[in-house]
Amino acid sequence: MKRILFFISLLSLASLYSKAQLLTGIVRDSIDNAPLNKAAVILDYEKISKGTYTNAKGEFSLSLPPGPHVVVVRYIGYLPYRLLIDGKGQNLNLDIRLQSVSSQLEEVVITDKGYDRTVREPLLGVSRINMKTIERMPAALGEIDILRSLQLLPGVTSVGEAANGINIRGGNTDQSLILMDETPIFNPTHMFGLFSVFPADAVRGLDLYKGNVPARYGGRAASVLDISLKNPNLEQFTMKGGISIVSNKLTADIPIVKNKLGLIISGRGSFNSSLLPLVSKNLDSIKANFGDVVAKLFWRMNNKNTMTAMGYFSKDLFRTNLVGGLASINSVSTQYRHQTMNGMVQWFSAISPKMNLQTTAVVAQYVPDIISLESGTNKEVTLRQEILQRQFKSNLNYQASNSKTEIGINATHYQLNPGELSPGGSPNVNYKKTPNENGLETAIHIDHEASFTDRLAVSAGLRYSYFMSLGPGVVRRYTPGESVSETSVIDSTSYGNWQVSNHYGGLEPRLGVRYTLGPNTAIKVGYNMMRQYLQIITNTTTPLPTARWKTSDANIKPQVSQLVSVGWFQNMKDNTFEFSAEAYWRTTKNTLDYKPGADFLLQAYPETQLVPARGKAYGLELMFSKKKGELTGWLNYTYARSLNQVLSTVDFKEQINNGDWYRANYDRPHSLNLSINLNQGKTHSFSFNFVYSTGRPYTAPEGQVFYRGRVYPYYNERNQERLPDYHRLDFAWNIYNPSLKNRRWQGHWTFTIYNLYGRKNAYSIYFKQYELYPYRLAIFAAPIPSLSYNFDFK
Amino acid sequence: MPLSFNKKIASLALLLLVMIGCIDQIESGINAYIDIIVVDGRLTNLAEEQVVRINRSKAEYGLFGSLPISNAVVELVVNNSMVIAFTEKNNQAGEYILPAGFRANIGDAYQLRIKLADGRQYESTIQVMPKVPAIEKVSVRFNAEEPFSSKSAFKGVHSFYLDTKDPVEQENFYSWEWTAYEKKKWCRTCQSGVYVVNEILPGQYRFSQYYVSGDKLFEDCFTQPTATGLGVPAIVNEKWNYDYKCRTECWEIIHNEEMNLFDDRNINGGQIQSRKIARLPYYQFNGALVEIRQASLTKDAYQFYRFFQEQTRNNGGIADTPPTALKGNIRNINNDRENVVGFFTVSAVSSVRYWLDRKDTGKLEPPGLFEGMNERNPSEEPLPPEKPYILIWGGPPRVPTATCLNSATSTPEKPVGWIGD
Repeated sequence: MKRILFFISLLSLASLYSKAQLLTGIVRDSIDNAPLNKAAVILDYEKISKGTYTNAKGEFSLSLPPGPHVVVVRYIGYLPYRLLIDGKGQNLNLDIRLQSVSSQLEEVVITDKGYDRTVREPLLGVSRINMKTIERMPAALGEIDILRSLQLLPGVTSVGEAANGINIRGGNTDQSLILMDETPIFNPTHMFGLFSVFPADAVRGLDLYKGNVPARYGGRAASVLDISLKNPNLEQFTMKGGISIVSNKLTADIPIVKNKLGLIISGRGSFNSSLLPLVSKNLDSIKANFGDVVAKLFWRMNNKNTMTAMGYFSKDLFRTNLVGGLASINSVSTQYRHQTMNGMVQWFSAISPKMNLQTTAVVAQYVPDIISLESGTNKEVTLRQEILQRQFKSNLNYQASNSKTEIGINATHYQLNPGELSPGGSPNVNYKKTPNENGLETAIHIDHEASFTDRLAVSAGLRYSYFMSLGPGVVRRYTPGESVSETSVIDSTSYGNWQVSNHYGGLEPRLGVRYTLGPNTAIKVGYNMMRQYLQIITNTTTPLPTARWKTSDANIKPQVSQLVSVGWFQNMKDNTFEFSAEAYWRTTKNTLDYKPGADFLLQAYPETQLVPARGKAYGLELMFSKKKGELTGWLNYTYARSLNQVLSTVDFKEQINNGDWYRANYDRPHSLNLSINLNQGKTHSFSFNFVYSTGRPYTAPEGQVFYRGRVYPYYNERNQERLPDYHRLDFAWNIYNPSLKNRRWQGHWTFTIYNLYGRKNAYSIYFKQYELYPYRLAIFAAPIPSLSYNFDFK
Repeated sequence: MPLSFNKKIASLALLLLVMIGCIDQIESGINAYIDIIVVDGRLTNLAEEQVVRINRSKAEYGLFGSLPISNAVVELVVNNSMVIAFTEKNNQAGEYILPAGFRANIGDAYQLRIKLADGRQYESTIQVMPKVPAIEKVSVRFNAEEPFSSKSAFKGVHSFYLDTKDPVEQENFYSWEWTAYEKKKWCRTCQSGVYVVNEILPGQYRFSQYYVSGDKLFEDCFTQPTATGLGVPAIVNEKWNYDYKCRTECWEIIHNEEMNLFDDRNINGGQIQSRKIARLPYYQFNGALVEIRQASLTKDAYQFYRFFQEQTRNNGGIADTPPTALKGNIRNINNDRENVVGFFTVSAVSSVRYWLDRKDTGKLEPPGLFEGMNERNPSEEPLPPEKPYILIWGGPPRVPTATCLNSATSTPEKPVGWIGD
């Protein structure tokens, strides 16, 4: 007891001899400088004992005990102010200006087109995520991934963690048009679906149209994901880069002629296939690498004209001797190689302040190869496919005071090489080529958006598209009413170069209506029709990078989809919160399903492997987001179904599930996504993502049969079982510029844990011979921590 | 976490995922509700037993349940005119064989007809036996580092490769199979039982410890009856294996586990070189006899087996084709909607018997056939005076040897082409 008394007296002595410090200050609004009355000034997080409030003039005064302190100033509707005081004795007078939350830029949604766009614009089902938001999100293995981040939005799903594409509102992966600076991306992922191909550092933003699609877009049945790249900085050289476990990346922004001509170039490459053998000895024969690079040149010709050129290249390489390659090549090892090469030139001309013309030429090439090393001869036998798309389009925009109009024309030529087998010097393999497919898609479109009264705004679009399947080629006719097969061929017709063997066309109306109920509330109705003349034909769960693309022809009709949607949109608290509810119904005709055992590679007449089908999808999407403040993020819930049915005209032997509606591979009725970002001052941010969804359907055996001396699983109905529910929590901690100094070089660390609680989410469940219980494959089966370093140089 | 990962069948996607993923066997089983007729019929042009097996795989019989179907009328229609009847084997219910003198010929057309005892009638499509080229060469390579299987600790595997010349004038579809014969020492394993030569007399016991042997031949494992009572030996609540040596010469028969299929559409007329067709672990010092068969398939048979192979090879990767009902070439003539499993196949066969002397194995010590196949050492029933779990009174002296079974995996008959003792 004596000791404690002694200690206390020592303490009080110390406080006597070291001078108490006085903290005074004034708290004001950062914009109008109005003093803030009753703002809380909190010392060392103890509001009651040590804090105070400002008076009517916004002033406060506090006496500080010696030693370091944390001061926080809070006021409702404003971002808090934080200060660390070292406590060396001087009195302090602070002039604190708090930034109101409502004047802050929205964190979640890009604001360059109006602050309450979601409510005001007459379009439904449009999602925009800010690239900053995506960058702060927890990313698997530290790779910023646009496609994975998009799956946190309502209506965007996939078959699982290794999915080669996304499914939007019940559409197939190939029913979403993915554009990167106007050029189409046919294969959006690296490493068979693990990472997406978009160079995040060079992306400015992205628009996802899952409901109303403006008439300038066409050619896909479900949705459009329009990713725009950054324009080069014309004034200052900057550099950006990073290192993660998977890849290295570097972006340089180079003004070549100041204010006239600039170049941005961004590249990324994986360097770690050499790490595979460390994981397992079995993997030492695997080589996997990927890379992508994008360059964009921007030339401001004069005040009215600009010219942009963009080039993009992406390549994947995957080699293994553990799997056989091509079905009828006697191979010892196989290599998969696919590459994308896209180019675009765009001329923008401001004819008048209200009118501009945008003319674009696009070339896109996608080449997947399967290379088998032949046993005995050691020759490389290559199966090559190729898509070459060339496109020209021109749009005229006119902006009046309360309306805007866009008119455009568009011509797209497709040349597909569906398969070419090159023996590569092997004397045993025969050269083989499936005839090229040629097609020309032309379209004219007009979009008009106008507000008629304060309450009513309409966006009306009309597109007319016309597709011609062109020669050279041989087109077969099959006995009507019979299954399309080798045995039902009636005759075949040969077509010469540029001869039209078949054509399709039709109107594609698009309509969106917004009716405002109050200053912050609107209801919207939309209708959308789209036609698709180019599609993937595949029989795998998710299309492989080597899946075959097919243009419409005499025997394969274009897909036509119609979507009706309604929505309720509401803003709250100065646009800080936003709530929306959207419901949709979509039907798609002329979709394709495949016959059992279908094989599309090197098949000159793929229609013999396919059966006609149709699809329907419907759902309800609820989204609540907080767009400003220290804490931003969203929570959404989606109920969605996606079903297919083989047409009743198909012979029952080729029916699926007796001709009933059956679940699509990505039919996942319930999903819930939560994404939270906590900004702690300028140097830290914390992000959490939580996702939940119903497991995807799969085909389970209905029993076992004893055949040829062995027991085999017996399958019948498709997709009649479901994987267990999927859920996962991710966490990311971003540390910006830890040195806190305003240097030209600033570092930024990101620490991520993907799948924080290590749930073994099933990617698939499958059965083997003999065995009673199935196997479950989980891809990210444990918490995956990763650390990445990024830098900015200005 | 058993990482059961058969590298032969792994798809590329799976490999990638294994880096960070994992594979578990999970509890949920199959909701079985099938009831289906299975016809396993293959006709070859060789002078050997031509068998058709018919069974009914039904959920009621348990998950792996199937019952042979007896008393069916099975006929072969040759070239649309001649009908040859199969007869059911006496000792094998559900197995029907053609008369011993029958020989199928290349180019002839065959159809299978079945009439079940309940009146249901089935027929296959007509299959014409395609030609098959001869096997030109078989070569063998030994890899001392290759494990017996993904789960095995033993190493050393012989791989067999074959060369053949694909004929140019026709579409060819191939199926390769192999059968290996290994001399074996251990003929029987009794799980929680003992091997007895003579029948155990029911209800007779000695000293509350012994079961009593009779005189009638039994030659099988005897496991404890569940009966309890006065004088009945106490039930042993243990699990064990007793392994018994062979009484006579005996050979283990090992078959290929997977189908090996090929079509010539990309190499028509070319050479098929170094096609890997078999692998046999280095089980023992003794040589082994390997019979390699190259069989021709019709196009639709090839498509069926290929599809079948794809389904059983599924491993959960993204390259998997979702499985669907397999439609063979046998149908109920009165009910098109009944699905029948199986494909009546006619194949011409060229075969090679290869004596593997195993002299290329260097200093590597093999584990022994039993040890290598079972991944454990044999455990013999202890000799008196030590006591086994179950005691037998009378009969031939303990510990007995076991007979060599004549089955799909074992034969007492010296295989043709066997070299050495």
